[in-house]
Amino acid sequence: MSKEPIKLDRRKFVYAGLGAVAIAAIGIAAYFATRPPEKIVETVVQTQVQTQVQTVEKPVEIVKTEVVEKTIPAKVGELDLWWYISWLPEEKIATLEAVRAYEAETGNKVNLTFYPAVDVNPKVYAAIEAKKVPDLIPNHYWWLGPQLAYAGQLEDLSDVVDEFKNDLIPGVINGITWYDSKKKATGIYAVPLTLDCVLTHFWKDFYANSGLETPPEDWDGYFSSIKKAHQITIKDGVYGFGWPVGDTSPSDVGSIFEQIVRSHGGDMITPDLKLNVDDPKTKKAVISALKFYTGLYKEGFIPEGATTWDDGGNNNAFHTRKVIQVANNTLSIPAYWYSENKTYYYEKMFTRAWPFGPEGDKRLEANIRGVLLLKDAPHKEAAKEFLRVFMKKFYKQWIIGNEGRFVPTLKSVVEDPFFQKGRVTTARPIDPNLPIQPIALATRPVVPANSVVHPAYAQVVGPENIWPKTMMRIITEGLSIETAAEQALNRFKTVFQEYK
Amino acid sequence: MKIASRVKKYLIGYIFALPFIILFILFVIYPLGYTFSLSFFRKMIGTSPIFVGFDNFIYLLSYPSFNYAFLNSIVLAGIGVNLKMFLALIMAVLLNVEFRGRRIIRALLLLPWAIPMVPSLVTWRWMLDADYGFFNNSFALMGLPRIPFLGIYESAISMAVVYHIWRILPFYTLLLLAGLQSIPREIYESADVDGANWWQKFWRVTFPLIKPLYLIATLLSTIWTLGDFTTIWVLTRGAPADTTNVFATFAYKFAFQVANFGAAYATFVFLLPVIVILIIVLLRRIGD
Amino acid sequence: MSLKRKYLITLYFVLAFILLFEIFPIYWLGLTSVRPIEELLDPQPWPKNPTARAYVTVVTLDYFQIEHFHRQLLNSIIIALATAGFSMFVSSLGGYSLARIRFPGNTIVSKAVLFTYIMPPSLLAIAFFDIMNIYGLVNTYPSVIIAMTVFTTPFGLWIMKQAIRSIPIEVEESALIDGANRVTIFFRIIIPLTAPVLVALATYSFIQAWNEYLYVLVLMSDARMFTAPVAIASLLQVDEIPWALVSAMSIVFSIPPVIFFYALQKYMVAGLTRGAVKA
Repeated sequence: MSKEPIKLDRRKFVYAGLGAVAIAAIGIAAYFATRPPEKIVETVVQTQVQTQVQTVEKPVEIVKTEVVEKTIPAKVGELDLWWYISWLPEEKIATLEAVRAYEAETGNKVNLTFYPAVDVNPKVYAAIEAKKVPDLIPNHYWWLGPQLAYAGQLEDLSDVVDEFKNDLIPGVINGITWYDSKKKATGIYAVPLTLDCVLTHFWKDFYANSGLETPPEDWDGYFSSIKKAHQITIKDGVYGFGWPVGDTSPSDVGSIFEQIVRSHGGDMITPDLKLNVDDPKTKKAVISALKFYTGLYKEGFIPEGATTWDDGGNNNAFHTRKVIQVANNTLSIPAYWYSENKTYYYEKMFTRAWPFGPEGDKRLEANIRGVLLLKDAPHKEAAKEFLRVFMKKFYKQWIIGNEGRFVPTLKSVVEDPFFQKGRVTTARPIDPNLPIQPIALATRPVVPANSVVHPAYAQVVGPENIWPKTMMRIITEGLSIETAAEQALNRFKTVFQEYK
Repeated sequence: MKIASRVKKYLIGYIFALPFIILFILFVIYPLGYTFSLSFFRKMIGTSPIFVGFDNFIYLLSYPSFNYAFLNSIVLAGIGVNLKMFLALIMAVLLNVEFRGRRIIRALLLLPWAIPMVPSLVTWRWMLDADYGFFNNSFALMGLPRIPFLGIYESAISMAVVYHIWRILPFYTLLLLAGLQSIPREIYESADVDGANWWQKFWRVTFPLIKPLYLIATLLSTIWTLGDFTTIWVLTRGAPADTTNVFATFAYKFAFQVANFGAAYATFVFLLPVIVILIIVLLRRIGD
Repeated sequence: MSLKRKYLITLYFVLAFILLFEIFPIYWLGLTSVRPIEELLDPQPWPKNPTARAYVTVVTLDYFQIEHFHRQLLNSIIIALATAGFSMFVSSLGGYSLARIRFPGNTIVSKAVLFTYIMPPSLLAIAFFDIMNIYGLVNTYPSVIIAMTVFTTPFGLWIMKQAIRSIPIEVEESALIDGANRVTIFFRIIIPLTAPVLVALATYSFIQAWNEYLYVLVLMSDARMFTAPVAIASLLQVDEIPWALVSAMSIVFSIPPVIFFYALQKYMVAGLTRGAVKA
């Protein structure tokens, strides 16, 4: 190998140095220029509080005596809250506003950090392993909660939840009661914030090709009408179903699939949390669901690209008017159009609840998402106090601020006209989208998603993302549906054995 | 006196090399040993490790689609690297003549390599997008069917190979070109005297001289490709159906998504022997 | 002569094709960054109404998912500069020791250097996380800086060793006779004479640390501690990818390494013959 000495002349040396300095200067200037100004104001306001807290040995106790004197909500010091961002800016704004309002009212500081939704779970795991955890974390991808509870990483929140337990929508409690394998007991480990189920959205004009105005509620009528419209619209490149198929999607495919299994009468786990996959009825439901879902793709009712969609892929397909109908958790699609184009929201699209099963099974599967308090959280009392105040004073404002994407978990809040009637004005007396989800969840039998009640199920459906993978094997590897179903169900058995 | 000065000299040698030695022991040997030993422990998030023998390996082998890590490593490192090296050799031979614009072409060729990986993966992912990407939009304009490039195993892994070639081909081309240019002209002149044609010259003269460099480059590239994480993670995240995962992405997945560190370490233990053998082969070849 | 002509034509043809293949994706990245949203889906390869909106957003951070981007760029700078500094320190000392002092174990250390250089960094990533945990360094700058120093030092050490060997030994010997000790020689003679190489290796370390993705992803858990590549890649997972913005961020992020790279192009290409720069 060559041994020639390499020489850099002085000019280049100087250039490189100057370049580094310039970039550093720009970076530092940019950083200071863009620090949000309101934070500086906040620190000024809070200086007093901060110093008080810092100078006392046991902040919590002493602060409590202060509360009695001043009769305002407890000053419990700061806390760290992680929250997720999806693509809907309103969600972030609602969370920020709620936190600001809490800070203004109590003088307690909340260190709020946002993460892209799919980053939250890995970062939480990393933080727990590093023993440097925040206090409150979102259970946005809901399989996190039962798994952390099982691993003994969550703080019991019964005392917080007790305060509004009677106000909870029935069934919600099942989605926050988890088993802790270290304590060998169940407890309430989350404050439930939202409910959502699989919904379907339609473009009115595309669907009109079926000859109907709104889809029937029975399975065959519902799907055959869309397929009928598809036969006409496909000539313009518009597909029948904007359903994601691939496993890049962390949650949508799984939820839709589980809902289909339920509609076919399948119960993957029994009410007492035993795996139920050997039940012929369940097996049959899983096979039918696989046949149905992969069939839609193979027969060309779903765009080819659906195998690469993430959780936003179905949203995008709908937004760009490439599909007649789309299935999606939460009301994120109408929420988008509400902020983007109200005419579209009120006049061009509509939302329908999931149809009844082929044999009339009306059950809906609900995801329950909430907020978790970690066992090793540095500011437990502050976090609990925050949750109490939040649920009492800011919850309603917050969930309405989420643009109706989710249904509240509190009866008193879901009765609000915002959820019952939607966003109506005299000019637009009917909201064709928003009230569908709360009404469906109130009028039809609701079961919590299996993955929000059992940690093993949570692992298989969550991180292992079994359903889209099984479907992809059928689609791309040509595996027979029976074999694929068998393999998937065996996977459940294997993992359930690890969680005894 | 002499011994004392020699000891002093050695001491200075050790002291000067010490920073590296510390880094090497603490952050190369220790993590390697750690990876190896922890692969026999069940270590979930936030718990202390429990010895479980070969359970992690059994878990991995029973994990759906884990076998794809082997296949993909062979595709990426076996087929991808060799294809790239072969192309690089052809390119180098082509470029080894004087022609107009050589300098500028050489400078331009460096661009894909100069750009950090994440930005270049961003543009590839965008171009390959199933619904709105450049390729599919062009296909649609030409009346061809759309292909979900990253949604089918075969095309997704091929795209990883294509990206890999795209990024590193220029680098190895220039590497081999530099090697070609260091061959003395006299050797060719004597071959000309013997009346050898172009092919004979290449096969009898050029190739034997460039072979050591070619082999070393291939080995290096193989090792680095086996350990590559970013390409797969940013391009496909293992989709479709976890089939495009390689060992590194599986390990990340097990550690931070399934929260099972033991399995993550065990993933690497499948790869370690191969890498270590390749490194030893390479070290022998490089010598000093 | 005609053969040569034919050869050249083929050559230009092949080169044009390869160049198109190599440059087009980068062109497309730039193009995407200046396209208005309505045009994003067009396949036509030139902009009709170019706009700098995405770049303005990168400067003003007027998009709800990138609030920390400037901080993240700053993190990139901090980590890259610190890595460059440490790497220079460790490499120059180690390089001198390996090049000039034949202490027992010299060859073992040399092999260790090569081993570390060849070893794919991803193999150690998960273990690094646990080890940094033990030292309590997860989610701090030192964790990534140490990791990047470990993986950039071997190359630096290697080229320093070569550079120091190319300095005539007589220079040192005469200094030794004058009564200078090794430390003085190192700082007074070796460092000034190898300054250009030091700059080059600092640049190399800077670029490597600047581009690093995996170790930041693994070691940093707070969004404020991410570096720019992790931030950019994390935008690719959110539901609706703002392609113009991501492209603009990518371009901004790519400018420093590309400038450094071309500033030192001569060196980088020369270094190629040693199989030097990590690809």
